Formats: sequence, C-alpha cells, structure tokens
Amino acid sequence: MSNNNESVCEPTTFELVFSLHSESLRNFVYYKCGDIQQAEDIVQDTFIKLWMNCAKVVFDKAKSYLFTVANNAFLNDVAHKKVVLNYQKNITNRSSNETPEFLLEEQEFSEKLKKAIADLPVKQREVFLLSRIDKKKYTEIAEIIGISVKGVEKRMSQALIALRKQIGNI
Amino acid sequence: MEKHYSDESFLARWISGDLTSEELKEFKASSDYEEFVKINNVSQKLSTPQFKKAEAFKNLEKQIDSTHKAVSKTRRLKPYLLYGMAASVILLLGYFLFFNTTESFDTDFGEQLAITLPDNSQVILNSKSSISYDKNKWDEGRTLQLSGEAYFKVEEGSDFIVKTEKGNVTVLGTEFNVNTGVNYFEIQCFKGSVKVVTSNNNETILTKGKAIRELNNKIENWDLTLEIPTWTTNESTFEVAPLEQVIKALEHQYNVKVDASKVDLNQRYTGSFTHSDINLALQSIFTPMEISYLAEDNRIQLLKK
Repeated sequence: MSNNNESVCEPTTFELVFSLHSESLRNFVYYKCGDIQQAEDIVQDTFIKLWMNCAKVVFDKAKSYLFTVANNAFLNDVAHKKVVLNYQKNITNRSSNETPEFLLEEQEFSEKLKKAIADLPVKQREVFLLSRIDKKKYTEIAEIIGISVKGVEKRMSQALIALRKQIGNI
Repeated sequence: MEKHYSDESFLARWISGDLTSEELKEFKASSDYEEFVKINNVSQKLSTPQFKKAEAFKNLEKQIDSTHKAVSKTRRLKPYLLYGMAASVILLLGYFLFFNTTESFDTDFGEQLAITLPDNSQVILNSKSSISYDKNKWDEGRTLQLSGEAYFKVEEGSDFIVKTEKGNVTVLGTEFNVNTGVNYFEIQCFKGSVKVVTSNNNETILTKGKAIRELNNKIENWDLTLEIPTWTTNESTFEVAPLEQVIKALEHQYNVKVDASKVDLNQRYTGSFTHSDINLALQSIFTPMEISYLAEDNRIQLLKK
C-alpha cells in the first residue's frame, strides 16, 4: 500500500482511506476538544472536504490532508470541554495473579490519572494520548501535528512530568 | 528535581524504549521510577469512547450523496459495471433471457435481509449469504438455492425445498435455520419438522427443537435451547460449534480477517457474540476459549496462550 498514487475519487479507495484514518482522526480531534460529538462532526466534515477535493489528493497524501483540515476545523471551533476517557480492565491477562486489592488500587489510580490528563495543556495531551492510547510512534505523531520528532519527545516528557506532579499532589 | 529531567527527551525516550542501558539503570534506581511505570501502564489501558466506524461511514455517504452532486458522477461506476454485465448476459442468452425469471438476493458483510417469498413464506438472510429462486416455477414447486446462512418461516403448503451445495432440506410448514459453508452443513429446526438429505444421500428427519450438523462428512445431533436463531436478533449463538464456524460468522458480521493459523480450529465453542460491538464480540468468543488476540484495523491475529 506504500507509494500509492491512486486518486481517492475512486469509491473503494475513499472507503479504504476512511477505514484507515477515521478513528485516529476522531481521537486526535477529541484529545484536543474533549467533545466526542464535535470530534465526530469534524471527522465527517473533513472527509466531505476530502471527497470534494479528491481529484487533488492522492492516496499517500490523504492522511496529512485529513489531519491538517481537521486541525484547522478545530481551531475554528471555539468551545472546549474536558477529555473523558474510559478505563478498561485488562482482559487478556485476567488469569494473572492480580488480587482484588491490586485491581481496586489500580482503579483509583486510573481515576487520578484521567483527571490529570484532562488538566494537561492541549499540546501535551494530544501527544501523550496519541502515543499511549492510539499507540502511534513519535515520527507519526510528528507528521500528524506538523512538528519535529524532537518537539514531540519534548512534549511527551513534559506531559509525563506534569502527570507525575499532579498525581503526587492529589 | 532529579538529573534526568534536565534532558528534555529523557522520559519520551524511556517510553519508546530508547534509553541506553546505563540511563535505564540509573532511572530505575531513582525514587520516581515506580510512579512513572504506573502512569505508563495505566494510561495504556485508557480508551476513548467507542467509534462506530461502519455507522460513521454510512452517515458520511448519506451526507455526501444528499448535498454534493459531484459524488453521483463517480458513484455510478458500480451500477455501470452491473449494466455492462447485464448487457453481456442479454447478448449471450438472447432469447432465453425472456424466460430467465430467477429472483436472487444477497447480503454483504454485516448485513441482514428479510425476504417474503411469493407464498408469503419468510426468509431472513444472514450476512454474506444469498438465495435465488425461479419466480415462474414457484407455483409448481417451492424450491430455492441457498449459500451461507438463512432462517426460514415456511407457510404450510406443498414441499418447500432448500437446495445447498452440501445437501437439501425439505419441509412442509415450519421454521428452521440452514447454515452452509465449505465442508459444513447445519440445520436447526424450530417448529414443525424438516427432512435433511446430505450430499452423500444421508436422510434424516428433524423434529422441533432438534439440530444436526455435518462437518467433514461426520454427522452430529443436538437439542436446541432457543426459540429462534439469535442472529436474527443481533447476536450469534453457538452450541458446541467448531471454532472455525464461529470465526467465519465473526468475519462475515464485521468484515474482518481473522488469522487463526496458531490455534486449533476444531475445538468447540458454546456461547454467543453481539453484532453491535466488535470488541465485546471478540472478548466473548476468545476469553472463554483462553485465546488471546491482537486486533489491528481489520485484521485479528489469534495467539495461543
């Protein structure tokens, strides 16, 4: 799928682009604005825009196009809310010897962590969550946000320090 | 604070596993290490609200179709192809086409279709399945072809015959479910009785609440615990079914590809999975089977514990 210069005007290609990028695009916007409805609306508008401009965007360029357009759409939208994340218990490792006490403690810790994440500055939060939840590499985050890898690493480190301080204080 | 904070990318490199062994050793000895490990571990278990991709895409298509005319130009591609195919069929069959009164229905990944036949019998077609029948010959004998899975509610009357590659099912008036696949043929009878004839001419009569399956030429019988097949109500239920069939149903429902090369496909599964949430579905199949899995986009890789 690399080096693909296919036009996204082709419905199957367009659908492929959607299935590849829609979720992380949604999360990316959500990490910024904290409003899931707004995030999904922006995703829809962004893909409509991609479709309207499909003749100008080839498959390989679609991703950066999408994130740029979505980012601009977000900057135009003013209202911000707090990010609310879900905490999943680890299902695959259920058989490991995690005591109820451990699980309870982890649950409490996760509450603190979620709150601390919600209080992070947007620039740090998007980097941290794209890395930890969407499991994206620093190079990919750098590409999405449009900054250098060094810049991503810096924000990531700052986010960790901020979270550590915040949790320590609670 | 401590020394490692002075390097702006230190913690980021720790997360990505790019610290040197000395740096790591020193970091591990520091008082903050445990706390950072915890932050990292727990944050990886966080998730965003569920994203319903298929639904979002449908909405998007609707939006595009209704407001942006540009779309219809390219969207026509598929119908054109179909017209082309239809045209070539006309050319090939010519005169015979006038007598070609075959009616057919098929479903794609995750779709279901309810069909009313000319005699008011009902068919519910599960995902990735198809039926066809000859409209004109319907009055002479109620016969249809099935591939995949379907649930039938047959009005009383003459013999109603479901033909599949793996065998035929004959009934009068009843409700039953037929599921076929490669080397797989399964019939569940929910009302009345049905006669099943497998490809090697084995004949069996199923009464209400009985089910039969033929797997790799071996026949198994069991009793049903349900009133109707649950897949018609947004859930798929299995009773001691081979894992291979469960995975197939999952693939058809969610349009995913499951790599099961590392697990035994002949082990049996009893349970059900939902059609509305793939993560939940994966959990309810593989957790009790003690199979762990990696899900990435549309590919799911199964790993033996």
